[in-house]
Amino acid sequence: MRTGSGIAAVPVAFTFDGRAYVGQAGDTLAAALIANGVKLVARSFKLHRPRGIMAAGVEEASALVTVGEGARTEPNVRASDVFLYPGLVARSQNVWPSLRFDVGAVNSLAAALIPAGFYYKTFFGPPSRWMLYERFIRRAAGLGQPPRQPDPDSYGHRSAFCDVLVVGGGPAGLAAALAGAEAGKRVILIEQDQAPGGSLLCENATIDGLTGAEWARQMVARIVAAGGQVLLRTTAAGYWDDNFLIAVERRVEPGQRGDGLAQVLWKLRAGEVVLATGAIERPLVFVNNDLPGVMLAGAARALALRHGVAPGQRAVIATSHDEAYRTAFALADLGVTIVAILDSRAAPSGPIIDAARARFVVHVDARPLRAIARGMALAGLEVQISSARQRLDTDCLTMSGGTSPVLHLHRQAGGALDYDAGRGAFLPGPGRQRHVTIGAAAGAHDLAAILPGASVVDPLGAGTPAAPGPIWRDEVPGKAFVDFQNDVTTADLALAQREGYVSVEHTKRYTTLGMGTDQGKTGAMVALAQIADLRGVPLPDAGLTTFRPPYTPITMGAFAGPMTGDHAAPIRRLALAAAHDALGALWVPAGAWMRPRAYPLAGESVGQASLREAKMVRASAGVVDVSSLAKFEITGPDAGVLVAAICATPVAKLATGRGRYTIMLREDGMVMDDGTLWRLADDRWLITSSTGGAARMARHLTYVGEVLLGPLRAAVVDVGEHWAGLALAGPRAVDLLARLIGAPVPVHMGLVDAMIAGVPVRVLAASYSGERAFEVHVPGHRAWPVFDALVDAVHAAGGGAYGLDAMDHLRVEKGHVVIGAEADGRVTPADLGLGGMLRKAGGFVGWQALTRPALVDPAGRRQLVGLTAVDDAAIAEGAMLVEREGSEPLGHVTTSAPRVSEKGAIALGLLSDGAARHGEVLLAWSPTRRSKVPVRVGAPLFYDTAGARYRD
Amino acid sequence: MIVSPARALLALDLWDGGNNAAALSVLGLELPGPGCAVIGVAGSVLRLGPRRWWLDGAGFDAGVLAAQLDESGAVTPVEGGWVRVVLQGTQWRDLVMESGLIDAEDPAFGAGSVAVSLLCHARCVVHVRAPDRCEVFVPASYADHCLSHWQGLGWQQVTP
Repeated sequence: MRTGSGIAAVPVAFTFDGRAYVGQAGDTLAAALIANGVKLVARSFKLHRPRGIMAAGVEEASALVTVGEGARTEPNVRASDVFLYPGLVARSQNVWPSLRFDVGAVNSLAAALIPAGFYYKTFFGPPSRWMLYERFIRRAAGLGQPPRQPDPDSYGHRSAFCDVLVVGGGPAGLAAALAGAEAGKRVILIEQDQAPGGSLLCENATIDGLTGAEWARQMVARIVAAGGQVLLRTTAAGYWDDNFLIAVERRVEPGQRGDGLAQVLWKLRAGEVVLATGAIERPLVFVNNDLPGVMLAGAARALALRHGVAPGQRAVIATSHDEAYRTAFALADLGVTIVAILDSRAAPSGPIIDAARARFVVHVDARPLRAIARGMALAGLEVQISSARQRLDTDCLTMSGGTSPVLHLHRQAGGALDYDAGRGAFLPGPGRQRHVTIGAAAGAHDLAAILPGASVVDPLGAGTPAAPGPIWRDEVPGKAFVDFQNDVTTADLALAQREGYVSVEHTKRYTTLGMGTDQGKTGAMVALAQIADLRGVPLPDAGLTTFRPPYTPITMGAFAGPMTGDHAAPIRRLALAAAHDALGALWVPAGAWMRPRAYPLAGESVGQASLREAKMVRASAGVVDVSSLAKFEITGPDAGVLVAAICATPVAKLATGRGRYTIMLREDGMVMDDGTLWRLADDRWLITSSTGGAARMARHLTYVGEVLLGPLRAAVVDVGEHWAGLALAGPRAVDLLARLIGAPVPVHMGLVDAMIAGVPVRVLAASYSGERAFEVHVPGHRAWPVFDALVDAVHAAGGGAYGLDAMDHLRVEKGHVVIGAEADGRVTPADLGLGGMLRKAGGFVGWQALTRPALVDPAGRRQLVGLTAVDDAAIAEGAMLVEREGSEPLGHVTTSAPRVSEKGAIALGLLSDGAARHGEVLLAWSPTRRSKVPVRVGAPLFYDTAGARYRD
Repeated sequence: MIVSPARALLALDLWDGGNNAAALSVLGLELPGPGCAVIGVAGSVLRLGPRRWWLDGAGFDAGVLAAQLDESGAVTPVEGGWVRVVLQGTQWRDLVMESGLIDAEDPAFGAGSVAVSLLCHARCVVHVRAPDRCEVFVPASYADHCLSHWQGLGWQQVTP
């Protein structure tokens, strides 16, 4: 068994590409594969070049694999960011027929034909050609395939608030979290790794006499004991205003079956944020720097010290700074032969250098030029030492071209960046929010300085700050990669510059630099240095791309959380939903509400059912659930003032116990909503308005009451849900209701309080169907017996319940408008033929706007009309109203319906100068539905023109 | 999780929200401040907004209160629009924070605290009754949606 700071002596079986292996608990897949001698792990995105393990954490750009089986498959998992569990199944992706013999590798041979930007050039020529190219391009390149089956796992969302949020559980983050917790603050520490410690897991230093890993574990225990919360395997993915961050916690590994939630999306609001996000090592640029066997020096050190894995037998360390020297010691201690250390600096010095020179061959002013392959892995290096070139035999090159502090969260928070030329890196500048960046993310590199109160013993001593690697200037021909995930080479960057894509934002889009799941973690700064060199400008002048969240990929499941299936959006259910179900209701969404569309009988279509139901109302009586209508009670000495401002119709003379139809306008004079206004008492009013406009009306009432009119002595209470509403309509409605309430029914537009089935109700006499009708309002939780009584009564009279479609048919015949269809936000009351209802004295919201010349003059305005199909054919809703096929539209069909009382089809529409076009025949034309129906324009009223049926 | 209709629930609006003397004479108790509730003989009084309180309990008589308030305020019955969900157990804070952006873990959010917040997209009223008990008033139309979500999080509906 291997030993290391992050593993246990517990064997864990797994498979890769169908072959069985054994790793150890605590191993990443990457470590376990290398421990089993597997170097070839993946193929690259575009060129299908063989790739191995490059990094040790989320910054792995090349070794992307698919993990899991069936519906639990997760593609594009970084092999270095998935921890082994028993039965883990991993396989290579973007390969065919196999990883070793991948036909797609032909792309590499044809690389000259598909340079950066070739994709855009395929758009030249006729668009039809793209249809051909696309087929090949999509097959030739790509990442892993998502599963086809629905995800069986559950995902959650969770909010959390704290005084101090620490992002990063390395030495700096642990120290900051403990200080906060011991100061009595509410502290949350998040760390994306399975174990705390960060860089300590890969170093030989001791702290207070403990190994880094043990010290980190003890720090976590102390933070928790002090009341702090520590979330491991949790990655901060985005940082927004007001110190709001999101983070994703993995509770199971990719592809792993768990008992509870697979992942939780945390929504974190913090008083102060401490960013201890560390730094990412950069690769060096040379030819074939992507070969399996070439990896970051820090990754090799992690393999050695955390996992006890030797990444090769003969290693070369190529670096531009001190830190990578530590890798030579770590590998040598595992028995790896250190062939040489190549340091690009001319005269490095210090305790680490001295220690290395005492044990290894160290070349200065030295660097790799080309990696040489045998099969598909590294076998040797062509290197330059001073002015001489030399070949080294090696199967493992560990490299370091400096480090890039991880500043994405700082930048997303609006923080500035300061360029440090010595490091060739950006450091955090001033922030805009209450956040601070510490540790390696702020450029600190000396552990003793990061933990000033601790006793740090580093056997090699402190190094110097990281410095950037040399610029690649095509010293030898071949592909030198800067972005390993997207196959972007130095040649691609040069091509983009030559072709005019000079801005780094343009270069990014042209070459795909920094895209994909990697987001330029290892490559961005290397590429910027190359671009700056090509342009002959200092690196900061090369520009920066936007730091967008998420920096590290998030599964779609985490975003969706529990909002899947029926909960993808909230569904509002009627108080009587179960009663409607018992009647066989067919449901239809109406905004967030589910409402009964119809109650089809066996063998009936929806259309047949709704027409039958509408005829039933015309002939006898029906009951429809109108509970979702908005309802507001307005009470107080100033209630009348508010009502008069909201309602555009006369108000003052409305007597107690009476109601009237009303309309409400926006300040620009357009119809916002309509409904009924009832005077319940001297100082108490009830306004009903449309279902879909309820939230808007609530806002409007608040705005008018509190902003336009100032604080009023009036209470506006949304009673929309308090009152269930049941409309009883039809020629039998009067006598049925009178029997139910045991008293005379109210006159049209009158109201009474009554009892039905022993439940107190309020009866409002109003009609939306053209028949005598009543709305019975009853508190929602007591509505069942009332509904049952009403349904029983109408059934006995040959009627029944009716749904939304029948209600629509009935209202179209009477020319009643609906908000959203006829009143679409662009019409005035006059456009709808309601101008005569307005209060002549004005004083309501919107009346000033109606005096504008553009609204006073009706010429050219779209006006409400009725449309009758000349040949009885159904009229398509939304169809254009044209004089002939293809001519300019004059208006459109807003709602269509079958005639209820007789044969034929009718519709309402908005038509330019519609009032003057009565009698004309136009075409209702919908090319998308291949429908063209001649329609005769007329008044928007098809039934009982005298209004005799709904009056007393 | 015990689910029931809200039962007796009145909205109380006072034009002068700071007129505690008037409230004291009408309700027999002092009005709770922002984010708070008080419990009296008639029931609980919850602060919901600058000028709005909820009177939660059968001991509050809408007619009597309206008469006493005269022109200084209004009462409106609202019980038909709300479902009362009693969350029993110390884990109620987790449930609330898994449903919306609310700091239910704030040590100050203890018994007698009230918050109006979106839970599962529904505008709910949270009333902390005890460290291990909380009442959530859910708009009736959203109740199925919320309860289904909460059952998915492992909360079972029980009969008291």
